[in-house]
Amino acid sequence: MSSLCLQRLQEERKKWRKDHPFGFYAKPTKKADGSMNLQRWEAGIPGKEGTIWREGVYPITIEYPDDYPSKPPKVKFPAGFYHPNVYPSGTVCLSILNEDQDWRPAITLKQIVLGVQDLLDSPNPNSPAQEPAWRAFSKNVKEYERKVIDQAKKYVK
Amino acid sequence: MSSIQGVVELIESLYSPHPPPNVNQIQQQLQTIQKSQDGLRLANELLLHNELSNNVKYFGALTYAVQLNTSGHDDDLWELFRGNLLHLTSISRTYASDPSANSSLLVIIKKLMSNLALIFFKANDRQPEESFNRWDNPIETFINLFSSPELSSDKIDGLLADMLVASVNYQNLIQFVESSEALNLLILLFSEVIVEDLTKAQSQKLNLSHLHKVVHQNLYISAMSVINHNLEKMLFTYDQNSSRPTLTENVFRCVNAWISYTSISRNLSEGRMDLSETFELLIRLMCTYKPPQSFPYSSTVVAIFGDIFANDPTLLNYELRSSVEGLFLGVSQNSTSVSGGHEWMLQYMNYLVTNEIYEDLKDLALCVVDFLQVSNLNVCNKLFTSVPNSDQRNLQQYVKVLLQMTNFSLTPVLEEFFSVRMVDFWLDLCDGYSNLVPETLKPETPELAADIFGQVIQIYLPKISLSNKQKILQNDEEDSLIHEFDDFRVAVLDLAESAWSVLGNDKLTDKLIASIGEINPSSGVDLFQVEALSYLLQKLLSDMTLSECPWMCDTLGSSSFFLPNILLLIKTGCQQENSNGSKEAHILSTDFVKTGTSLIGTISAFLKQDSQKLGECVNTLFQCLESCTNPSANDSKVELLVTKCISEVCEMCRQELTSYLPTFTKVHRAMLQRNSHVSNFTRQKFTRALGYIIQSFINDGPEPQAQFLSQIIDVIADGINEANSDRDHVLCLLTCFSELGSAMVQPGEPDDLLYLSQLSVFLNFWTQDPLQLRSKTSNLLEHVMSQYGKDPEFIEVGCLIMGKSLSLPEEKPHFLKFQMQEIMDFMVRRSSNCEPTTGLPYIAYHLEKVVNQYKSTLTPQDFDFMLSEFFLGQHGPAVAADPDLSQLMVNFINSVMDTRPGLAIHCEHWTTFIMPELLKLLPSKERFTISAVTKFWTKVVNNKKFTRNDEITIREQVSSVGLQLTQQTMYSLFHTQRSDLNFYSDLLRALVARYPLPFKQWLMQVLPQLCDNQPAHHLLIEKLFITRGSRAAANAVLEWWLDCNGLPHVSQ
Repeated sequence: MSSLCLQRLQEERKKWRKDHPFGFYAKPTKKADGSMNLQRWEAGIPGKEGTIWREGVYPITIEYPDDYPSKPPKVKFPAGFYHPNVYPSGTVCLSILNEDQDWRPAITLKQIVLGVQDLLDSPNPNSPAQEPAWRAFSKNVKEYERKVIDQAKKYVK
Repeated sequence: MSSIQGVVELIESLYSPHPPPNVNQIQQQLQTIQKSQDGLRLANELLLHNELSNNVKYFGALTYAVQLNTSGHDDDLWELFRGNLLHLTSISRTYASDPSANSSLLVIIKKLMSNLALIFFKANDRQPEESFNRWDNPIETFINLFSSPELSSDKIDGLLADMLVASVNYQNLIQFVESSEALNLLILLFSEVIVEDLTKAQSQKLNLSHLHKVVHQNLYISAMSVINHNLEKMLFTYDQNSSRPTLTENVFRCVNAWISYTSISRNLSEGRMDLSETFELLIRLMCTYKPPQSFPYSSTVVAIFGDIFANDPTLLNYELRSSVEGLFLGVSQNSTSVSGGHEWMLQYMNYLVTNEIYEDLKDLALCVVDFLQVSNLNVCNKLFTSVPNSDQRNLQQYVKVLLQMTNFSLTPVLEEFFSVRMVDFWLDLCDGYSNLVPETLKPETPELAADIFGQVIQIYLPKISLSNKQKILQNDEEDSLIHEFDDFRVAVLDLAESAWSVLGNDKLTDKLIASIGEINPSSGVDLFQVEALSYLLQKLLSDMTLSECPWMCDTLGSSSFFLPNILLLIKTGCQQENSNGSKEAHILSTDFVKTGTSLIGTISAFLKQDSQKLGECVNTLFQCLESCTNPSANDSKVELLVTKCISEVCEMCRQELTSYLPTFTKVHRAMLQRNSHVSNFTRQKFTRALGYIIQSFINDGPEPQAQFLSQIIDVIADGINEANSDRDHVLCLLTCFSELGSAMVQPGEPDDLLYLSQLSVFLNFWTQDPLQLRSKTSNLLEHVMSQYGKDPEFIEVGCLIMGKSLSLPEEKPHFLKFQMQEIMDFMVRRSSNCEPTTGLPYIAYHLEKVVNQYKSTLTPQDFDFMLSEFFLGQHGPAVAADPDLSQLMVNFINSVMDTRPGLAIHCEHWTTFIMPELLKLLPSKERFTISAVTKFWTKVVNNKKFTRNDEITIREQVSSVGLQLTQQTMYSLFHTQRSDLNFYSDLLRALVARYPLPFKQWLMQVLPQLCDNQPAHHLLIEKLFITRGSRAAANAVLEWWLDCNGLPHVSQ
């Protein structure tokens, strides 16, 4: 990991601990020897109130590459997570996380998790990433909502 | 140019409280004039006449700004400088003549100052030889001009040129600001505006080092003189001047602006602008105590220092930081001297607490903890390592003060913030300790660290108690403080996790367990205390695998009141939830249940070892479930939590719960009744939980197990028959059936010897199926489908039930192991009746599973049948018309190409339908379809699962359609969107790899027909045939695509 990456991640951790949106959590994981792994974080995204996602806090992992912040982190839900813009592997398809699209080195962890929270209830029709959720979202809203609500129970707040 | 009067009217209408409808048009008209060559003259005219309104004058100042941003000539810059400065001086004179009557002029003055600041930057942001002249210090220029008699315009230019470099000595400067409060305020304001604008400019421009140098050598000296003079005066005369509050605010604003500027510029310029004198004065102001205002400046200065410590703490030098440390803590980590200034801190805190000024108390906490964080690592090293020159007694006193501060005796979040913010300090100290090299530790360090962090945990336990949340709920009408408190609890969890690495089980986990166990449930339990202990304990235990920690299970077992107290917590939560409808009760009871059920779920491996405790636990959970399934409950979260907990316990303790099967089935039967109050989620999860227990009920062979299954199927079937018309209930019961089937799948690799020894008996039993459970199942499904066969949710769950064992290996027994023919018949019947758009996807997923499971026995004829039956026959038109269904079909074919491609290649549809139709689908518009079709062709061209026979057939076929395939692929690629290029790139790579010679020929033939760009085509072919990696091929394709579509290349 470059010193720039390390410095920035330490800064992100400090910033997050001092100020983060309510209901979210995020912290670096631990390596096998008990030391902190700043390049891999675990975080939780609460579904927005008033949406079908509201009952759950959805776990994600955030992996920062060695050349972060030049390159964006990879954000993943658990494999098989039901959402039109989440690949079957769990990887989130979001423009601010795409180096070729809207990623900027100044984007913070807080902006990322808020972006993911927004995405939950506002799927992007231009970036379908998994077929079942995408099909249901566009063709069978009732089925889509039922599955999202069931999934929320799995990750209940 | 329009007449001035006309412009004035336009400006007045623009700023009118009721602007006219054509306000946008007016705005555009005025903007055009502002940007025109007449803009400068207009600005001058608007500012010149006293009789014009302030709006008009402000617009004049704004016009100068527009001109300043659009002009590029040195001559213009001089004109702008001249105009702005003269108007500033003139309007400032008017203001100073009667500040209270003319205070509205300040907004114009500020704009003119901002314009001059920009001119000052421009004058110094260039090589000296290019400069319109030198301009070192706008404040001195202003003072000089203000102090000069008004001159005729012909002499002004000469005077201004002199004033650009004329200085003002300290005595004159102070004399000027002392001459009137208004002038003092103007100088402060000008200084503030310049550095604020400079701070903004710094973020937009890179190299301003010359400008910073000029500021450092000139403006900084004047500004500091004025600021420090004002601060000194505030120290002695604050209560003698009634009009000073405004000035005081201006002084502090100016100080803040200089702090921000110094912070950003100190790494960018030569030399360092030292604010120490200002900081010393600020510290003295912070500690000022004068009745009746008590602490007139403390809160403002604390906020200023809070910002510094949060953003750039080393702006304060070491001595100043030591002095602040003494003030805040009364003890310094570095010296034995105790600062007398700490008295101020104690008095100030007392004042804030007594007067309930909690916001200021919060600011103080933020400031103090941010300050402490600066030296966290230093404290860590001095406390725990054998670094020389550390006074241990003093350090321990230091830590004691920090512990006392953490233990601030008010409600966290609601009233005090010290404990909340100190979590970060202790967490960092703990992480710092854990990262120390063991060789550097002093012998007594582990004990010292354990003592400190043990105390920290003891302090936080009552702090995170839900009794505090209750107080917040009683006081806070909005939810923000509640959220903050919840966040605080989560932060303490992180701290506890880190502290565990110092304290270990014996000093933390065991103590928490013992503390819960010591509370006698019969003598009035403090459930808030139990909850707080359980909350931390759950987190610590969830990081362990209890089944592999017998000593931990022993500790849990030896603590007599441990389990009763946890169960009491859950029970009380459920009762409260049910009996009291208030928001407060609802939130707290949900928290109780959540903590309790999470802990029970976490310790289920412990319960597995003690049947009595397990029974106690299950009974309580059942009672709780019964009590919380209130039909009038507005929130089913408590029910959900209890259900999840039951499910977790049953999954873990399935074998130990077999003796409870009769009770479970009874409860289950009641639960499945239509009039039962439990939610559908509970019905389904409970059926699954019951299934776990039945799954492990193998001691007496398969028959008793089958009897239980039969009973449950009967209950479900009865329920369905009784409520045939209640669609949701029938669907729920069918889902319960599916959950039962899932629970009956043996988890992981079986290691139970009894089970292994009986495996063949079970396999044989379920093959025979003497109780006809499969037949019961299929009859039930057909019965339901006769009514709901078009409903896709029923098709989904029906397929799930029929296919429950499809992913199971042959040797694993399962009561739902249907024959392939039975499954196929079921699907054919569903397909014939379904709405393809919504129903067919479920059938297709299932079909993939069938092919995967029975691949060795299937024939190409079977595959033909599947294709005809599900995609080409009845649903053919729908599949052809709907891209999603087309893609569904292609995915199915792909799954066969993945598992046993020979089935597809040698079927009849291969040449008559699959190849020609999938060629046509290559230029699709939909991303999923492109992905599926390109995947198909890639698998056709290159497939490791091909047999020799497959390979021969395919080689011949690809050779014959190769040109067409290349044509379609390149055509599609050419017309697709950029984000889909990679799908085609993979196919091209496969063709290059498997058919290098013919593919080159096909490309050479096809590409010129697409577009006339021979060099790009040539380059593509060349690159494709020499690149190896997928990224390089993708780049070559992208370059070709950009070239041929006339799009610019973006540098990689």
